[in-house]
Amino acid sequence: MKNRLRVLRAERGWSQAELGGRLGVSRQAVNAIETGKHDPSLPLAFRLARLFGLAIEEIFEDGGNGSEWRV
Amino acid sequence: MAEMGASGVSEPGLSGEAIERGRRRRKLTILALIFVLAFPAGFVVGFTEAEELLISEDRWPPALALGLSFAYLGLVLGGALALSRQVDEVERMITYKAVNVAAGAYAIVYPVWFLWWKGGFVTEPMHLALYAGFLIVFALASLFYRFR
Repeated sequence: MKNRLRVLRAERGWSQAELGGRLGVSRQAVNAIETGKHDPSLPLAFRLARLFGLAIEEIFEDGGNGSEWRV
Repeated sequence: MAEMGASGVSEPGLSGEAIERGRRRRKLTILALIFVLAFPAGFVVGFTEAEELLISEDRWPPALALGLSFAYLGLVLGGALALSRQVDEVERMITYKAVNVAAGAYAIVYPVWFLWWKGGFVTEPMHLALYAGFLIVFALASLFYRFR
C-alpha cells in the first residue's frame, strides 16, 4: 500500500526514530511502513492520522490494484 | 514534544527519539538479562553432562533435570512476557511469519524422516536435531523478513 509518510515526516523535519517514538513503534517499523513492506494495523493508522492531523485516506492510498474482496 | 510512548501512554517532555531510545534500551536489557540468567544453566550442562547429551539411555540427576526445566520455563515465559511489552506490530509480525516458516519446515521434515527411518534408509529421527533445526530455520526466517 502506497503512502505519503516519508513526505509528511520530512515536512516536519522528523527522523524515523522521532516519528517512531511519537507513535510508540520502532524506527524499523516506520521504515517498513514508509517503504511499503508493512501495512499498519488500523489502530496504528489512526494514530498516524491523529499525529499528522489528516484522514487515513490522505496518508494511505489503496492503489485500486484489484485487492478488494471478490465473491 | 512527543505524544505517545511504547506503551501508548502519553510521555510529555520526552522527544520521540528519546522514547525510541528508551524502548530499544529496555528491549536490549531484557535480552541481556535472559542471556545472563541462561548462561549458568548452559554452563552446568556443558561442563557436567555434555558428553552424554546425545546418548538417549543416559539419565541425568532428577534435581538437575527439574531445575533446568524450571529455569527454561521461567526464562521463556518471563522473557516472552517482558519482550511482548516492548516490541511493536512489525516485530510481532516478523516473529509470527518466522514461527510459521519454522513450523512448516518441521511439519515437512519430521514425517519424511520418520518414513525414511521406517523404510530403513536413515537413522531414527533425533528430537534434539529437530528442535535445533526448528530454531535455526526460525532464526534464518527472522533475519530474512527483517532485512529483505
